[in-house]
Amino acid sequence: MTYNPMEVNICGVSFKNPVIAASGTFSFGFEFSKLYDIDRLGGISVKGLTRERREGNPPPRIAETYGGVLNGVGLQNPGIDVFINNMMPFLETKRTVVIANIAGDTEADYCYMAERLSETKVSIIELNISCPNVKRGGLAFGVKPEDVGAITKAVKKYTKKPLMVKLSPNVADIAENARAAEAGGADALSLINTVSGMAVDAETRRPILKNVTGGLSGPAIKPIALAMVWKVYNAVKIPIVGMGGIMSASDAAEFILCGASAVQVGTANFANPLSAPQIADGLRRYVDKHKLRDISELKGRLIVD
Amino acid sequence: MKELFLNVRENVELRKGVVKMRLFSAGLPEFKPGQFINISAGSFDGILLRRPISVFKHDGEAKTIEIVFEIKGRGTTFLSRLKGGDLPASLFAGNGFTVPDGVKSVALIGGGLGSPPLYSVIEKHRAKGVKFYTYLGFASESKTILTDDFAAVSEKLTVTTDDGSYGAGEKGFVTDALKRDVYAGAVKPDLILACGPPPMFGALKALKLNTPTFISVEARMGCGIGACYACACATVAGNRRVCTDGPVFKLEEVIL
Ligand SMILES: Cc1cc2nc3c(=O)[nH]c(=O)nc-3n(C[C@H](O)[C@H](O)[C@H](O)COP(=O)(O)OP(=O)(O)OC[C@H]3O[C@@H](n4cnc5c(N)ncnc54)[C@H](O)[C@@H]3O)c2cc1C
Ligand SMILES: Cc1cc2nc3c(=O)[nH]c(=O)nc-3n(C[C@H](O)[C@H](O)[C@H](O)COP(=O)(O)O)c2cc1C
Ligand code: FES
Repeated sequence: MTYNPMEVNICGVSFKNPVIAASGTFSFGFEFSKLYDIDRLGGISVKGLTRERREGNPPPRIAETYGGVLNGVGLQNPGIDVFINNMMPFLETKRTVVIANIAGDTEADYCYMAERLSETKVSIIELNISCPNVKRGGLAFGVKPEDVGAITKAVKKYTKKPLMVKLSPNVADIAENARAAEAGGADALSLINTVSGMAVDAETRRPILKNVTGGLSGPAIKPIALAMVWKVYNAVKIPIVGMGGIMSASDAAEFILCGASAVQVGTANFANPLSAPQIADGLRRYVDKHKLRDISELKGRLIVD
Repeated sequence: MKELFLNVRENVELRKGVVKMRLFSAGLPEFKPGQFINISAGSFDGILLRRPISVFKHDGEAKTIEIVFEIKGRGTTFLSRLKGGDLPASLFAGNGFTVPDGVKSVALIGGGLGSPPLYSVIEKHRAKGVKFYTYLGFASESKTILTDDFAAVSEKLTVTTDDGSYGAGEKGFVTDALKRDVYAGAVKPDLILACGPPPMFGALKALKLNTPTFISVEARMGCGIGACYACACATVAGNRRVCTDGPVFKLEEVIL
């Protein structure tokens, strides 16, 4: 085996590079695989899965804000069975880490899905308790630290797969929620999910999203995300996957400097569908330019004078 | 679908607020009428998302396409100012319009800026002897576009304006003109293809014609390639993706 300076290890799972496609922006990888070889990515976090198929929110579901994207898709997905039976066979032919992002209405939903996924080749389960776009579930489990701890602990009993808890920025103190997830048995954390937001059309006097409010992503939220990753890095020992507005390799490096072991790239896939592999390539150049032994050497090495 | 750079070769104002752009790429992929491009509108002024724009004309030999668009917000304003240079885009997106073998007569219904993609249908199928009866509707004379282009390739072109201000046309809605011609037996289409605003589709549905009818719908998009579920269109089979399952759907399947 040749030495790969880009390899990162997160809770026992090896990623060939630290760039992961973010949940909800990449579906199940099939569409992007027509544009490039998705094996160039460290991993893929698939669209948020629910126990049953969901239709999502009525349209319009997306708006562009200044440097940001507001979405109110509302977890449209084919359901866990279709994922396991129809999507996994395709993903199994790929040599990139598959992360299953799951969202439930109830604790039982989360546990059921985690158990079902245990029989699959999914490498990590990402617990989405931070979706701002659905009425029930999602964020309901992600606001209070005690709820975060409880859902993590409950799901942990149903699976031996590593559990990554995805944190919401729409909370009082994200570090507390991070600690609660860690105490509940989380193997890793991912953050941030979208920031609650709204877009209004002054002419029609209406909100642009049918759902009225939605989740903000893209460069507009990067400073918020960086601050939260830094805060959480200083609060927990488990690895962090950072995201929020990463558009370039240097954005990704900033997250790693703030303590992320790997990053997810979401909205950038919309601006330029080739951005995820380009960010991976750019990070490699960054490693060479800064004469690093490997990318992990950068982790948390923010210089605070 | 390919990710390419499109070179801006020509940019002309058709009339105030409407631009026609000719774009070139040596690697232009296979094209089906009714498909669209997802074009970058730069990254200035906080722009992130690409803009979906239909193809008006396609020239496989010259490797050029033409698009016609209205200047609405930040993205189309940016595009309208370009005089050259390369823009990243993914193309060609969507399912497009199908004219099955055996179809001899097609009625095309265009509403405003929905008209351009209908031209590419005629461009492709006219040589096979298919006759196109084109109906274009605009709010007023000052909004009419592409009438000469359509007149040159249609068996018959009917232009309507809501206020009757277009001298060579009729007053009223485009669907009224279609209704009259079909009811009178003046036009016997085997197929109806339409692109325009939702109210036009509603009026078309209300005509209850027994002719297979397909419509091209719009939706705000995220990825434009089928991966984000942002572009939902409500259909009898649930929410479908406009960017990949559409933009063309069977009229009766779309919940308007
Ligand atoms: C399949 C398809 C084909 C189209 N073809 C044409 C065409 O040939 N000519 C033409 O003039 N227009 C066409 N449109 C509409 C065109 O995409 C919008 O007018 C354009 O995106 C507006 O961008 P903006 O930056 O000017 O407006 P903004 O208001 O600044 O745009 C903000 C966001 O909303 C989106 N948006 C706003 N209006 C629309 C709309 N009506 N449909 C979809 N997204 C919208 C933008 O793409 C952008 O993401 C088409 C739309 C679709 C879905
Ligand atoms: C259209 C869209 C859909 C999303 N769907 C999900 C989802 O299903 N599950 C989830 O955990 N996060 C979802 N997210 C959030 C992203 O995974 C990511 O946390 C967020 O967008 C911030 O990263 P970014 O700025 O790189 O996009 C979605 C984001 C967008 C833009
Ligand atoms: S725009 Fe992303 S699925 Fe259609």
